[in-house]
Amino acid sequence: MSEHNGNCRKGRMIWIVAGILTLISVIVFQTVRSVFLPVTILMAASVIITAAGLFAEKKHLAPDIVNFIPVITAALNAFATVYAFFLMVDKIIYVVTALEPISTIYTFIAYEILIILSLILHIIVSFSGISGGKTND
Amino acid sequence: MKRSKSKKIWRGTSAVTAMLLAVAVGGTTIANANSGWINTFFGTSNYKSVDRGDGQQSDTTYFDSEFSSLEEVVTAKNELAEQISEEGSVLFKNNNSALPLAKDSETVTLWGMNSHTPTLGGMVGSPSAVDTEDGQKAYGIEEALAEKGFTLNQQMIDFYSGDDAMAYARQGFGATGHGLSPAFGMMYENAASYQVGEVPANLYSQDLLTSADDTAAVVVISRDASEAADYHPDMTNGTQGDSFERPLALSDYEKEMIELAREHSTKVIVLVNSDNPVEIESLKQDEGIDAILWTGLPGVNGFLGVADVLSGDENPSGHISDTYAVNSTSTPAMVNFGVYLYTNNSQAGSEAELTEADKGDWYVVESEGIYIGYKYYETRYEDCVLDRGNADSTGEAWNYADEVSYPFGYGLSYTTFEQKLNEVNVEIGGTGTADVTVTNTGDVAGKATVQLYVQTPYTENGLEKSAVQLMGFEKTDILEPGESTDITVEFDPQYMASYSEETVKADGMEGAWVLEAGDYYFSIGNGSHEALNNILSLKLGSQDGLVTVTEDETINPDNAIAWQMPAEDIETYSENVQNALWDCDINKSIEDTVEYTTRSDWTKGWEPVASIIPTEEMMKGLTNSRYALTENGDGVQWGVDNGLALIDFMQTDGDGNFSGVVPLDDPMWDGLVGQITLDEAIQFIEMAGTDFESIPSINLPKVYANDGPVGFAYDQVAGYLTRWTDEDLDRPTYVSADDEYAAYAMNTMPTEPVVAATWNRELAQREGELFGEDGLWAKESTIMAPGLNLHRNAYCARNMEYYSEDSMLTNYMGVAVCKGGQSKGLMMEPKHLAFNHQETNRSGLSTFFTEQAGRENGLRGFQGVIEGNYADGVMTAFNRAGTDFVGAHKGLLTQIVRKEWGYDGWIVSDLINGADYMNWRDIVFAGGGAPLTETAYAESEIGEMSASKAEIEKDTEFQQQMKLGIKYYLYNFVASNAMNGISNTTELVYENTWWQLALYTAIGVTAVFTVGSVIMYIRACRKREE
Repeated sequence: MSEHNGNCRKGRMIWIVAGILTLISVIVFQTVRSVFLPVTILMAASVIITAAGLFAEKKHLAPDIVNFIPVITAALNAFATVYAFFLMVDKIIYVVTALEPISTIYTFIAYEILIILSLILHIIVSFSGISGGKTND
Repeated sequence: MKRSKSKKIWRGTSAVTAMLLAVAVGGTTIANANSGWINTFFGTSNYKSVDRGDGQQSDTTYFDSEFSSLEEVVTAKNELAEQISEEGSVLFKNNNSALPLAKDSETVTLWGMNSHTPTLGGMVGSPSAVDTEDGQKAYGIEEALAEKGFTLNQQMIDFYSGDDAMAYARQGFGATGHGLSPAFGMMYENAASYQVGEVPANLYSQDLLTSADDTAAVVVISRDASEAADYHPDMTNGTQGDSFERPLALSDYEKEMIELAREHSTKVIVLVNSDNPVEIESLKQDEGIDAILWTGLPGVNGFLGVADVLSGDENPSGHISDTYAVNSTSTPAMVNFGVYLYTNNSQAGSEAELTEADKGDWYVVESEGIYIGYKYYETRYEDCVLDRGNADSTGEAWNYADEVSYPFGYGLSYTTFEQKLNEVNVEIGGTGTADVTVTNTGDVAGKATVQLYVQTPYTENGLEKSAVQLMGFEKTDILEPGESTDITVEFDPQYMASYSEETVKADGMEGAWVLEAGDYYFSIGNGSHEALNNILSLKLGSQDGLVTVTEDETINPDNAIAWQMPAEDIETYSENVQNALWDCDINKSIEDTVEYTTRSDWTKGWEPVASIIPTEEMMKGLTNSRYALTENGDGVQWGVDNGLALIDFMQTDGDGNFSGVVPLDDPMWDGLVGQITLDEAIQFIEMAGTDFESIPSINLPKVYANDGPVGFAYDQVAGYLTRWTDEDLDRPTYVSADDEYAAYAMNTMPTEPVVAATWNRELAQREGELFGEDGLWAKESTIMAPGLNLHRNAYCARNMEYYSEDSMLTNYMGVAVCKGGQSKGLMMEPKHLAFNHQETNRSGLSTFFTEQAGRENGLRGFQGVIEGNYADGVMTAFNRAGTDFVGAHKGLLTQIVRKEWGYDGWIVSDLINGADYMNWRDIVFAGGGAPLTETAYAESEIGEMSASKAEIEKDTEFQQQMKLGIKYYLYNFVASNAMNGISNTTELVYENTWWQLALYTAIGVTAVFTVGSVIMYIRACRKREE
């Protein structure tokens, strides 16, 4: 087993973890924002694209493109992070005026931590690469 | 290998720059969508006023300040706050002239943990605040007494400020002096705990106790206050080891502490630092307690005034604005208070029909009818005396003396006054007057309050009537010993009328204000009880069986005058009137759900309404299904260029000052509103309330608004500086960042119960004027004040934002404050219309009551300011009236407020909290004006208003309601200081703010780097393939 293959396996694992974290964060977010679509759509898209990328990697399809997929999912996660952050700021106004429980903010913070972790992992994978294939880099 | 590394680097760089680009694009999109409040935060604006004239712009200061510096404004406010507390402090008891204290010869020991951590104001929306960083001071009791030259027992102060004692201090919501926990979210059971914050007796060392020997004890009993919170009789004491029977009764530690004070002092003075009446009958009866002084929650300067009262530098002249009951739960208004759930609430498992989004789970039935506060205690007392309606037979004999410690309107002075009611004149349809002679019969100068009450004729089993009700009042100037003065109390006879739902008028409409034929008794007195006793002694011809509860109380039939109404009158005060709140009476929807309190049988009305199954019609309201957008009418024209600007509607006098507005019925207004585009109208309505968005097509600049009843709220605008931009440099009240007072908090005034206790409308009006001055110096044009709801009972922790249990005292004080604010161009926005009498589950709470009670109590507090158009805007409440959201209750808003009261002001909801029940569609349709919101609709089922533009364009009726609502806003904006700086050659021009330019730059830079990285990645891939 070459060092390259070892790196690929590591990269694949990181990418899988990043995808799972994204999926969990979607679920966490749904507990406070069941009807807020933009964030949900972004996150769902990120999860689906990650899954598709993993599938493509398994099939050894176009490794340069597969390796570029984390760049796209990182951008999607970044979008979702920003959207949710603004929602959280808005929500703080409601908490300060005692219209909503402070637990709402805790959920947002949990979501933000998850999604930022996922984002970092996506960026790490972007640097390290995933796909071996014929043109393993 | 080198190529491979290069690919990794460029791919990774692409990820990082793409992430930054996403952050920049996402951030910019969201920031632009929320530019309103971001601009508010940074003090920026997207619209700049540009003068298109010849550069010789005329004076555009239509409302000017009476002060030449911010220092003068702050000083005036501090002095007024002190004066309000001087006149608003109420002396309940003063045995052996224990007060005033001799500052020169008496050392004072402050007793009670809450002498160190007193409550200055409420919490959450409209708290008291100071800018400590810049040296603004908040005077607690210790600081105020020291400032006023008292000698204090420092050892006791050190004890209370030490760690051992501070471990017991109230620290609710992160603030010292607060033990309440605001009710975050919805409650499915009554709140569990309240922290009194007193220390146990065993913490006082012998040495410490000895230090108090031979000193005068000033004992502090304190209860705090908060928006979003209530007291509840079932609460337990959250202070470790302490307990109480009820949170408004004295706790064990408080009793122990008072006992220690008695043992170690020459005299005991109790200060009651609470806006919620505390049970103090034991202190009243206790010979060892020499004096009791109510201070309320006096704001950050008020204890200075209290100190002046304690020292005798000022003579107390306050009268309490609530009944002080022996048992705070003895009123029928406590029978239904707290948490009550519909059987099909969202948490009811298989029975659930309501959803969380409906916010319709809770209800409260105000079964007491019209009998809240003194209207219950005094009416039942009269019926006891007259032996009717089973008044003295609820289980055990009912005795007024066992029920009331200090009646509504009661208060002592260091001097004595004699008041003589000389004459009463009543002109139905006109004005009523009462002439009173007041003489200072004591040996100290002081002010007296003349309180005028009326008893209207009551027929058993007829219309419910209170035995006495306040009609009017006046306060004298300072009267020297022996000095007399003649006072005329004016009143509006419409308030003598009672509302009858059954009466049919000549026009065939049901519902009327009725003046029944018979004897009307007018009386004066030191509070409601003395006034009633005067009436009873006149009616009965003797004083047999009459009960007094205070030592100074006199009964004098000569201070009551009978006036006769020869025939019933149902028309004079009933123009345009018809029943409009039928759905608020639960018995009209579901028969026999509640037995209301009634004079015909006082044994009725004591059962809580524990269960309600909503009818189909009620469910329409609870599920917010009353209205829908439809395709109707011929459409509405928007964006027509009629060449009008808002400034064209203002009239000025020869000096260029504001003098009037083009009448609302002038067709020019429709022309102006017609200029607005539909997009602008939608944005204006959807973003109304917190501030009001610019409307470029009519050159309306952004109009700023803010809480609240004790002054502009510091947590929302950090002092006077917040709103100013460089564009305002030439304005006479511009505040620069260098100003010593620029960051000072403005919400410093005493709370409303203290203002009410002054019974001094001049002071209240002056407070309004200084709110207006704050508005001029802080560039704020709207204040969400005053609060005009009633103290339905002692347990609503937001009572500090409302004046009184009495609707007329509320009515008069509201008018005075609003008049003052308007004179400075400040738009006054009283709140919370209406029936918001508990904070528990306030969001979406179905509130049920009889129409008579709603009109004579809850609405009458608002009637003066709305009917007289002293309110520029009105904020609706969180609750429902019946099952409809009160901000979308057509009967209330369109029939009563617009049609009956002739209101020309705007209406706005409270902050959207439950976007589906407080939804923009229902609010606009029902005449509720606009929702007060930030971005709440984005996440709701109804969605943002702008997203429904296509449907709105098809609904002519809805658009007409939009236009009507906006017209009311504009009509009042023209009469406000928001027009300062605007001339008829001024145009609003759009420009990007610095933060927008920074974001666009960030997008550009990150986009360039992202594209570059991707290109380099592709090149690296290709070269590898080659």
